[in-house]
Amino acid sequence: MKQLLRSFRYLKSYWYLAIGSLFSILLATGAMLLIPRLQQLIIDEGIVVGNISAVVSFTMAMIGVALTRALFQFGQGALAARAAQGVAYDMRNDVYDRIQSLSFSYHDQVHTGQLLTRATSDVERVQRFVGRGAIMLLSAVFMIGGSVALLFSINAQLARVMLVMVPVTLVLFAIFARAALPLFRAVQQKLDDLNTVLQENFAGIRVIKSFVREAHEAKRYETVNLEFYDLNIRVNNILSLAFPTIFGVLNIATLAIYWMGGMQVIEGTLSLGELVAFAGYLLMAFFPVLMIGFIVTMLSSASASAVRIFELLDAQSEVVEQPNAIALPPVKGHIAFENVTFRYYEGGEPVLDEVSFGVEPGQTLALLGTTGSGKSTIINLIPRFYDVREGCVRVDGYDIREVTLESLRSQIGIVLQETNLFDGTIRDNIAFGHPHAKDDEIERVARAAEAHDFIMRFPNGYETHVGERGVNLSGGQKQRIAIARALLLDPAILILDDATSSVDLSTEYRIQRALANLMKGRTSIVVAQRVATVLNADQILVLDQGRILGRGTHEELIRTNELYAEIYSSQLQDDRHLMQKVETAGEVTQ
Amino acid sequence: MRRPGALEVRKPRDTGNVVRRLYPYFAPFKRRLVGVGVFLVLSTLVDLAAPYLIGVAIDQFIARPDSPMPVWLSWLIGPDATRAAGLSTVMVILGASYALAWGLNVIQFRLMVRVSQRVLLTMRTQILDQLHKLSLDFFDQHQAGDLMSRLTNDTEVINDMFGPGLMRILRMGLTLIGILFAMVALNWRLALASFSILPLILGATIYFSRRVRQAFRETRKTIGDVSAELQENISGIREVQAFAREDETISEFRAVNLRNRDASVTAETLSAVFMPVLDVMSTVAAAVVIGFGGYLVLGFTPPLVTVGIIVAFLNYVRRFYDPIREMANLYGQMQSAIAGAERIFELLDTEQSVKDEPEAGCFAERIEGQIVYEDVSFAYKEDEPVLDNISVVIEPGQMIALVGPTGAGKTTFVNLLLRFYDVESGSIKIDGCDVRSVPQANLREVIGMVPQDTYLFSSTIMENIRYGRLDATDEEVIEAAQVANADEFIQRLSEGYQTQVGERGSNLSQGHRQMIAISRAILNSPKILVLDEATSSVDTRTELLIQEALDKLMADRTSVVIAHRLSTIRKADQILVIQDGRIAERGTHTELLAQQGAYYELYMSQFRRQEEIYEPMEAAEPGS
Repeated sequence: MKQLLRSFRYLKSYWYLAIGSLFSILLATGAMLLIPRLQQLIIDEGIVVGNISAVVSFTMAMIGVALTRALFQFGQGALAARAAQGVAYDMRNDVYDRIQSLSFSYHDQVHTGQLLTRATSDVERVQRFVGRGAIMLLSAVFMIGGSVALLFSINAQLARVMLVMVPVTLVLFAIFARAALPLFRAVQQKLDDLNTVLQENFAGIRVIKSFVREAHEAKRYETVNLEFYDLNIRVNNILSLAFPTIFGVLNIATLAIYWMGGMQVIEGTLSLGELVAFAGYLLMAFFPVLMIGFIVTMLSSASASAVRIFELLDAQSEVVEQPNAIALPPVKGHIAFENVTFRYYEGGEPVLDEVSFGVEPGQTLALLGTTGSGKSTIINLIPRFYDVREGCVRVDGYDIREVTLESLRSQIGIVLQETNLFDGTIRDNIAFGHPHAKDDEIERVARAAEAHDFIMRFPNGYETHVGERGVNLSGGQKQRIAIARALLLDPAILILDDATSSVDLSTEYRIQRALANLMKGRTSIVVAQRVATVLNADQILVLDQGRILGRGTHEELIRTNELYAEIYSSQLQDDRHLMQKVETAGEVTQ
Repeated sequence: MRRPGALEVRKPRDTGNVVRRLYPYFAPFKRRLVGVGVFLVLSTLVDLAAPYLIGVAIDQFIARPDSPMPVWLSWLIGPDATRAAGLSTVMVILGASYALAWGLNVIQFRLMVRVSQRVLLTMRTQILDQLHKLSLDFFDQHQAGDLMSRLTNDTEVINDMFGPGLMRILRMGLTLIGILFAMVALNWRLALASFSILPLILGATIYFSRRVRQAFRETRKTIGDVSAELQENISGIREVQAFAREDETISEFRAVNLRNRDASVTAETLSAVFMPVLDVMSTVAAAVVIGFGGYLVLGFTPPLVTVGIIVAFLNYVRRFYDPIREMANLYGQMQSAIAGAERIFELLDTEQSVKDEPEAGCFAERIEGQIVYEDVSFAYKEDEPVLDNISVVIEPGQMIALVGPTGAGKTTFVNLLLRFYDVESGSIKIDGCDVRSVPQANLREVIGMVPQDTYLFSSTIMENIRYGRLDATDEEVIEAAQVANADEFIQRLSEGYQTQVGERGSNLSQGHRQMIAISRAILNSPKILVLDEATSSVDTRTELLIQEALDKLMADRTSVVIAHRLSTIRKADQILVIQDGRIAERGTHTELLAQQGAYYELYMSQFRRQEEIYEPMEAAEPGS
């Protein structure tokens, strides 16, 4: 609720629209309240006493009032739409900005789907309440108050019917809402379950087919499907009672009015016109009561949405630029880790434990170790995707927390393990870091990344469109585009996180060769699972469970480091064998 | 540039056909539906009786009784009852009719919902069955996300429509007709006057609801773009931050967001015109009733209408524009429901390209595992052959390795063996028996596959491995994981085998996922094993461990392996070098090297690189 009130701040920039909308709705409501009164006058002053001119003039007045009301009603709708959509627009922008600024540690924990829901349907719900619901609530209260007051002014005894009807309707609404809302949520939940199974049957179709598990999946689906059916029946059982019953209250009230009022007319204490007007006001009071019911239900979901939105907006990025951050001058390429200990979660196991090392400008550092040894973490710390808590990371002697993020990251070229391409052409994707790059530059880096040839094989070449997540390219092709994208920055520091894992052998070889040239003159940090990749490195770090187990060149490590020797020989065992075979083959051909 | 997430709002192409297709779903519930129809008519009649009864009460008892009493009333209370007694009688009847309406409404709603939910239940089951029947070419052509969101959206729209929607439409239609009849029956002069406004209301409704629908269609499109933009930049957030592109993406988002805001404002402003216009018309209609009614009362002796009838007309007029408005609202909903149903039928009608033969036989209990490809050709798209006249004989227990550049047809080769697709010409035989002559299920039970892209279900690791053999005990699952050398890393997870793996198993590394897939295949213990680059994403050490496990697994089985590491291939009994869909070379490792052809070149490129490794190692280990 507190968060929902907070959302009203977004209305501040649109206060004039909100006030205008409020005035319009009050005036429209006022006009509406006049109509039964005019009907009464037509009957009592006109028809009953036989005054045709009264009939005509009051009828005209009625149309006039209706037109006025329509005008204000329109004004209210148009103004409220502008205010509400303005709120939604501002809120969405804020959500988006926040998403962009949150560091990797936030995104590691939150799924894309969750963020998407917040920016779309949650904003929608809050917008509807803030921009519309609140004003409607006010008008409903005004409408009920107005018609009750008018009813009392006509006939206090009959007006008591209203005093019973309004609370009874509200109570009934509350009872049904309380019974139905949890079921609605359960239905939604079950629908999600149902869709999850369906989704899995899509995505896992190969597994399902190759293990012949169609029947198993069908059974799993059937169970959820039946539960979904049952829940739907239960919800509808409640609904089937709710609406006839709530409208039943209106019917009973109408009956009471005509019965009691009819008796009064017979006794002569009430006029026929008044009775008809009374029935009109009854309707006018009833629908706002329903509206209040709906808005209150809307309120609970809107406030849940508001909580989710502000939770995101209040999330503090772990990586924050210091207010006095300076721009990092053009980088020479010196990198140093000083006693870096890093955990992804507070209190979690350290992923890096007291790691210290230095890389000189132009050197190549290779990181080697098993899955989970901390290689990727080291790489993520250099562009400051995460902040270190203990120790510090320096580039050219600057603590990276003291420079601006933009100046740091724009000088680092990085190829991540999982390649993500954006909707657009291949050219756009290569030019991602440099949107205004010239065609020949793009071609140059594409050639360097061994991507030019396959790109040119597409009918549209560089203008080939890659769908979301680059769906129509193979893994290897995507990786090569990612490499070209990093190279275009012409970075002083190049980071390659297992960049060639999904290309085939000969392509990998060619990329390696190209990269070797490109790494010259740049500080490069390379994560690799193949020993071959690291042989050219100036320095190799062997990592195991967050610690540096060995460092040095290949020649040094092969003698001194057991783990390195083990990894190395496991790869080379076969190769030694190969070597002999080739020699034999050579003899054969000779 | 359409992206998933931006749901298109489509109009149905052939409404008649959809209705014809829907009929069989409802046919089993004929009697219940007739019941619903009867209740519906009854409850509408009872509903409509209320304004009439109130009119009678006014005319006969409340106002001066100046009109002849209806026959039923004088029969009921006698001609000389007091006004008060008369009023009470009519009110009791009114109360009874309200109670009856309540009961009828509750019952018909429940009956209808039961029928429509049954229909949807059947439809959903059919969708899944159809997905299982469809062959892989269908899944290649359709993106899972796209089709998924369409399907869920469609079933939801249909759900809304078949539930209360359909009832409301029928009810509204009946009410409208009933009101028209009642009005004419009560007083045709006043009825005609009231109808004069009807074309205006109808016209305005049709005009505005069309415009409003179009406008909202536009807002749905723009909000779809907003989600697509979000989706893309959230999943690409790492790149955005790495390349310091925040400002650009933010301004792109602003633009899309602005378009959505403007479209929404337009749509809502338009609908803000619609409602007041209808309200004015309904007030004008009420004014016409009162004004013209007043004239009919006062301008003629005897009066041509009574006050009670005017009041009844006021009630009727108010009620007849509600159905029109409601139907206009429902019209759009109905259209998308029909379009949704159309798409679902389209899916259900999709022909499966790989079908079981009607009299497909089964493999013998124990198969030997001989595989023969005879002149096999295949193309995903016409005129683009992926495999061209492939002939191979794989003897039982042999291991065959496929090598070649990406896109050469290696994966297609194994897909055909599992009959994910059917060969275009030629045949594939297992133990002399054409794969097309056995049921797909039987064929795939015989073959175990570890695919390139590991899929994990959102469940525990235990259940994911058990997928290989559903009746396996926990011990057997763990045993399989041990053989695959996966046990060690699983044990290290805080919840061990009970660890939940998320959608696509995103909280495990690619290598770990592959190890689970291998455990799954080991548990399955198939007669023939197919490995599609099964160890591409694990580190060297782990690969070695898995390789050991696989070697054990492959020992007495026929296996087909796609690998891009020569060390794996070296052990093969037969190597096929596939290039551009043809077998460029075949033979053992030694034989192929001797040929100095494509394999030799591939090998040398690998070798040359490893030579660089080899020499320093020689230097480093002077002893060897």
